[in-house]
Amino acid sequence: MSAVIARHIDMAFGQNGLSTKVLFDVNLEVAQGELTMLVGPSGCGKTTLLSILSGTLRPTAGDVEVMGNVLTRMKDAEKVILRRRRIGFIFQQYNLLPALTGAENAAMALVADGMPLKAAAERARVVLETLGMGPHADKLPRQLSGGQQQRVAIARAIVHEPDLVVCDEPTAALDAETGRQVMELLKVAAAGPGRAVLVVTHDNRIYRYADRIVAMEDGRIVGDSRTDTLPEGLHAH
Amino acid sequence: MPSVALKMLLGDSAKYLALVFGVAFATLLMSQQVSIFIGLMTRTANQVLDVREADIWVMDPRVRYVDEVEPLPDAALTRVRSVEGVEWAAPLFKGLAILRTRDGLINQVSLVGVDDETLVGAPREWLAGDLESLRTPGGIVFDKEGAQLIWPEGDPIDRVGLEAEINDQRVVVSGIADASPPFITFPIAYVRYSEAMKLTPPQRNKLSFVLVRARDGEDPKALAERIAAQTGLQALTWDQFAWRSVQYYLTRTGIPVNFGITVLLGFIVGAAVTAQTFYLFVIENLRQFGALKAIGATNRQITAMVLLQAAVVGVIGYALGMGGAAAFFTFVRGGAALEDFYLPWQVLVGTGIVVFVIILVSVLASLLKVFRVDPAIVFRG
Repeated sequence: MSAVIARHIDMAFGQNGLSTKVLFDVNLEVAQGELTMLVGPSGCGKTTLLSILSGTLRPTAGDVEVMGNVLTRMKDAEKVILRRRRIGFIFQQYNLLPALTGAENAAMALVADGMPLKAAAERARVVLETLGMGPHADKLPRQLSGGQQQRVAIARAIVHEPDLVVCDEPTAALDAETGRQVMELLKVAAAGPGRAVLVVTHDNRIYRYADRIVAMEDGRIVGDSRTDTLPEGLHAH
Repeated sequence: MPSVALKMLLGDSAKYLALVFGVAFATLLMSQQVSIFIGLMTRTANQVLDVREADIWVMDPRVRYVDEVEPLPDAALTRVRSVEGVEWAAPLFKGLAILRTRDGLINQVSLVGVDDETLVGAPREWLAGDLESLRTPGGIVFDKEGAQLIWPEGDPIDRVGLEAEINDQRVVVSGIADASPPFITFPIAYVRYSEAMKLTPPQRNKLSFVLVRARDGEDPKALAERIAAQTGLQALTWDQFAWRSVQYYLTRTGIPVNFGITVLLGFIVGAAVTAQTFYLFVIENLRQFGALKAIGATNRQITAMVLLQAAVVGVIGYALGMGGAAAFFTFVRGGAALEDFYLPWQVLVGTGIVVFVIILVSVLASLLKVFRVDPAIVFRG
């Protein structure tokens, strides 16, 4: 089953004749149980596509289906609940709340869904243990290294056991070794039989962790490892 | 989410303290200045408010406030007494006199002559002596601040028995009263009406006011109108006269404008500090709110978070500001300059409303930004 289906997605920013089109008739299916990487040069539209696929941005045209829910037909409030319960997010800049401990940050999706902070943090602590972050669960983000903060972000993305995890440049702010560790954790902890992981990146050092690579350029999908149509430069990875 | 909101607020102690300080400062400045203003304006009517036995003050129609005296003929007293509904009417003299102490120092005093028989118009609280002290031959009673001003050394109550001269006539201090301080800074000297007549230079009319008590069941306001109609004099209930005295100073002096400017500045500075700090606090957290929205927090949850943060800052800042104002008035209460000034409950409520509005406006301004923030903001590095 496909976790995400995008059909004929167009996206333009701006209005009144000054709009700039950034996505052109994008069609994509992301399968459950796979770690799919969306790759391409900066400005090619991959983060915009990720925002649309995760329901945080409405496309100018086209349909998006996440776990059978057609986002383009859903109300904003319904999309919020879908994101809260079925999607996990990992951001390039971690976006941890500086005043909360690692466990509390990791618990945010549960807290947003109504679970008391203390109980949610206890549950998040278990997930942090699996990521090797047990000793750091009570530390504030400023007391953690970049790699440790990203592990907390991974815990936050999976604590509510979502069907889809979207990651935006998860290793961009990390050194090579830490990036490798994060990707291994992501591969082990996030990817699972019923869960799809969609990673946007232009860090070619982590391509090897992908089950599938989709290449983008100038707002279009230009290659897919599944159909063996990747551009020449990507085959090497 | 409430605990997350509180952690976000308290986690940044520097900003939290700046927010609380802003609210406390605005609260302190506004409540303190408004209270001083009210205390000062109340002083303009203290001499009316202190005479608790009289329902009505009768005076020349040209009189606009308590410190302005247009003498009445003695016959005015009997004319007022003849009006139906008057229980009793008593004369009151009010004027200025020159007092010379035994060591030759000269002071101008506000001389008040009260009815010889009933002593209506005399102070009711005493630090030395009592009401009967006024019946001492040649006796004169000073208010505490007045005695302190004339004889600065030592305790004012030790002035009893000292001799002085008023308009070259010998008087003996027979008591010290705890009268409410007047607006003008002259010492208040109380004597019997007959003594006041002797102490002041001769002139055709000397009666300043006629104090009236209405019969039981008589409406003082209706009686005042009846007195005015039958005598041609101005008759005001005590509260009308007190308020008229306050209004005179409000409209004829620059005091309200000066205090108004100070209060306004307090409001502007407090509002600017509070609103800007709170606005910046929210704006700096915009990315975090964006992340929360992306994760699945609703606008309603985030609004509740911001409102809770604002409520905590508002309540603590307001309490500290009011505590500061209360401490200020407790501290200065003993001094002559601000004696009897206090923090009226109306100021507490009014300042609370103003602080609430300041915070509400800053919350609404920042919430607009939060509502508009696109959760996709978190995907932009």
